[in-house]
Amino acid sequence: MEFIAGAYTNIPSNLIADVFNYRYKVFVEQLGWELDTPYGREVDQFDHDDTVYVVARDENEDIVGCSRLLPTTSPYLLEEVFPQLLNGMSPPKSSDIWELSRFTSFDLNEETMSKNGQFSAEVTVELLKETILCAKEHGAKKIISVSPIGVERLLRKAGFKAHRAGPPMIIDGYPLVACWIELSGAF
Amino acid sequence: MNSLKHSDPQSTPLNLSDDGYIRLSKKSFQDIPLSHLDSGLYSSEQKLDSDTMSLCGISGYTEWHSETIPSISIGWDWALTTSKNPPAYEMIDLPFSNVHLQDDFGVDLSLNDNLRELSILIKKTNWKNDVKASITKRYS
Repeated sequence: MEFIAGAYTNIPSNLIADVFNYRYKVFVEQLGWELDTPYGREVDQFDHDDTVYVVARDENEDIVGCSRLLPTTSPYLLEEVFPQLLNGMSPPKSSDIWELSRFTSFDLNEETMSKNGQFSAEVTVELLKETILCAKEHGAKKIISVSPIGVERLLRKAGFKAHRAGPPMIIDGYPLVACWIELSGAF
Repeated sequence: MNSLKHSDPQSTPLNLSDDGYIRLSKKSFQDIPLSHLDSGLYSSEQKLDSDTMSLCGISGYTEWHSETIPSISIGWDWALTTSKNPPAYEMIDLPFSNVHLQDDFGVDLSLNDNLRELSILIKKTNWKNDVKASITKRYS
């Protein structure tokens, strides 16, 4: 297992293309998310020069997980699309608060989806730790995540200090929630 | 809409702290009605036979919230214990919430004590009936 982290402009273009294709297979094809995205590529307006990606690859260099980090000083998903998940709080704009989204550790080589949906047990915690470490290295002191409720369970399992920002929204039949993740004391 | 309580909403104003928590005493929390938002199973392959409840390994989640502004949110995982007759819904682990309970002096409980107290308070309610009805309706 290897982890590759970097900004959109620093990651090889073929790897970025693979990430978008992987995200399409996971979120659109497997999970059925109704996203306005080209066929075969899951990409939106928040995939830009300031975006940071963490990618997990297996020994065959197949992607088995990825996450997306955005500084809240640039437009981000929670601010632009799901501000109601903040329960009335103004979307943060701070260089030490980053947003985590598009987190998945789905192994496309598995024959059947696990009951954990977009997460496979083996990769998940390690990918989460690498993601949070990456955010910390970019100056984050807090992360706000926009994710299915499974990420809450994952954060607790991995031992991070986290709590939800407010009630979830039901999107395509599944609860989507924003979580605050406190990085002080992490690593 | 199903509620965990049927009392009138407590007039205690709810404030959102800078860290995103809503801070309340236990009594204030208990006095705020919570409505069922959503419940679901963790595996889409599992089907619930509402007559026999004969499947094993059934678990899922349930979400509740208040109609206040800001809104209280609390959710937890549950498992259907089929060894009991009738099968029973049981809370698994500690809940997830944006509520931080305080003691009589207005001091935050520790993070774990907060979740344990919320768990105790939830277990005193009739959440199981609402979850059962919701799951039965959604998956039958």
